[in-house]
Amino acid sequence: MTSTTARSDRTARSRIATAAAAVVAALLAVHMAMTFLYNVPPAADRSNTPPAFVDDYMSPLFVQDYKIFAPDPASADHQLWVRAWLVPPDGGEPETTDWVNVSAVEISSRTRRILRKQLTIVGAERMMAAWARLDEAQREVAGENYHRTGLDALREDLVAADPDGSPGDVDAFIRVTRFVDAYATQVAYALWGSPDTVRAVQTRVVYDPVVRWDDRNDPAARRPAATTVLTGWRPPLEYPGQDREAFARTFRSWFGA
Amino acid sequence: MGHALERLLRAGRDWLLGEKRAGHGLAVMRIGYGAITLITLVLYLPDYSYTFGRGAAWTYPLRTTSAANDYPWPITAVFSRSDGDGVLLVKYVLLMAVALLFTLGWRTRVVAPAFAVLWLSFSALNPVVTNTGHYQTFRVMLLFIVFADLSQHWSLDALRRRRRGEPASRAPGPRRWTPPAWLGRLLHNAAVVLVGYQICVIYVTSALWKLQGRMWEQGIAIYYPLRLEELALFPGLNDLVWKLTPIVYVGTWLGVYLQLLFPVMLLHRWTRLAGLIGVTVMHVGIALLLSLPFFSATMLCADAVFIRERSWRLVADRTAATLRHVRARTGQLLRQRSAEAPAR
Repeated sequence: MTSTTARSDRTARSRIATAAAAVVAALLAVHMAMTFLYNVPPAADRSNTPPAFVDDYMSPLFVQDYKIFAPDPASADHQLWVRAWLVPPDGGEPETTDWVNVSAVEISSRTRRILRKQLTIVGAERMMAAWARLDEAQREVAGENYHRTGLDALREDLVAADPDGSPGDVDAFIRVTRFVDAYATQVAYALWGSPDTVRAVQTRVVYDPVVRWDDRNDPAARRPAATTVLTGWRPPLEYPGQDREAFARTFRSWFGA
Repeated sequence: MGHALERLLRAGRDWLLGEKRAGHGLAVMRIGYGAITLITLVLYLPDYSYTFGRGAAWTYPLRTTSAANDYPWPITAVFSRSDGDGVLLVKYVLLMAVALLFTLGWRTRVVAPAFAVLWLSFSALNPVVTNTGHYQTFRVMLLFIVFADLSQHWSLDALRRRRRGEPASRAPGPRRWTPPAWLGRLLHNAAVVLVGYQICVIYVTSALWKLQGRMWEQGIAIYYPLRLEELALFPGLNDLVWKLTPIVYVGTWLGVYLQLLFPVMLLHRWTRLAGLIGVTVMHVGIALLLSLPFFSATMLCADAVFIRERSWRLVADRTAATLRHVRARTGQLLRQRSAEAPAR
């Protein structure tokens, strides 16, 4: 190869490199702009979600959320509580179990505490959020028992209670109801009974506020009153493929600890 | 004006096409992210079915609505919710092995993308856990750094190349098909830009979100998380901290303004040092006081790209010198002792 061709070769290569750098820089700029738009808090006059094209670009691989202890940090312990209604198969006396704070069970060991986020705390928070979006009449329906009629009937009655309301809100409530119901069912099987004896389960979400800042130095200070979402009795719910034993082994070991 | 723009563009091109940047910082990320994964998986192992396996089938209603279900192939091809717990365990152990190789920097060109695919696939099993909180940052950063050369320092790859007398930086492609060297540098440096930018977005937007809350403005925000049961790793330690009112005020304001000003602080050497020390203290505090060690580690490892190569080299050289000294001294002591030992 003569030195002239070598030089023109190098020039060509450097032109390609420059063009490639320009393309990469443009892609970086697009990604950076999208990331910023996706994360920046909306101004007061804008809607609460990023524009659709930003969402389309970021989902699913770049989904992210940096509302870390923000706008205000949580100031209450978020808990899911579970109990069950047992009817012995031989026709003995029906029995209602005590309430169990399953969130406390999930964070009972220090090791598990750092393995976030705990499933029952997610359940409690999603339930509280879904509940907040129901109106008064719907909340009354949600408080009723549906262990005989089932969750599809609950959905129908929720829609009927507020025909002009958002179907999405009812869907979200039903979804999280299934989530906590299915968890409560596994807990009931692990602690108290079997599909033959567990007739219904019930959950409640408790937000238990810590002592307020202004009272922090008062040794007699009490926690403010807790907020509780108590829904009615629900039928046991188990999804296909559920390994009851695997769940029970783990849950019992934490419960006993 | 035109001149200035041209100079700027040229500088940008030279930065992107020049030497591979932040090699030590990326080595820290590789080692740190590999170790975070390994530790997380080891801690989950005794009860893996409860969170990821058949014991967790009850999570169906929420795990099926996550964006993680839309991950593209080949991420979808490895872990599957229809696997039994035995198969899951085999794949789980495979992921641990690949995470270990990633940490050690063995054949990073192949292992890094394999690790990313395996981890993302695993994290889609139960996104209610592994697609929230720090796992999101972890995923985004991992997707960036697979484009970088993670093998330049503190890796088995670097060790092998040094033994063979090859250059420290890896070739951009396999031997049979060798793309031009500038392509490897371009992708590497683009990844460095993305990591640095992501860090800045995280700090600035999380500060902006905090500024929308009243508690941060009042200077009392960190009091409440310090008292939550869910977040108290050592409750006695938390009680010590929240009882010191000035600490709560200073911690709260630093939490907001250190984050908000972080990108600006990067611009000058001394403010950068202050900023990096500040966020390090903040993250260590978050790890110990709010039960979030993996979040803190994910952020701190990525912060490492902002430390200059010169500083890393200084640290590395000093450490190596100390090690040599210690080794020489122990050798000497051992020889002395064997000389003094009575003959049998």
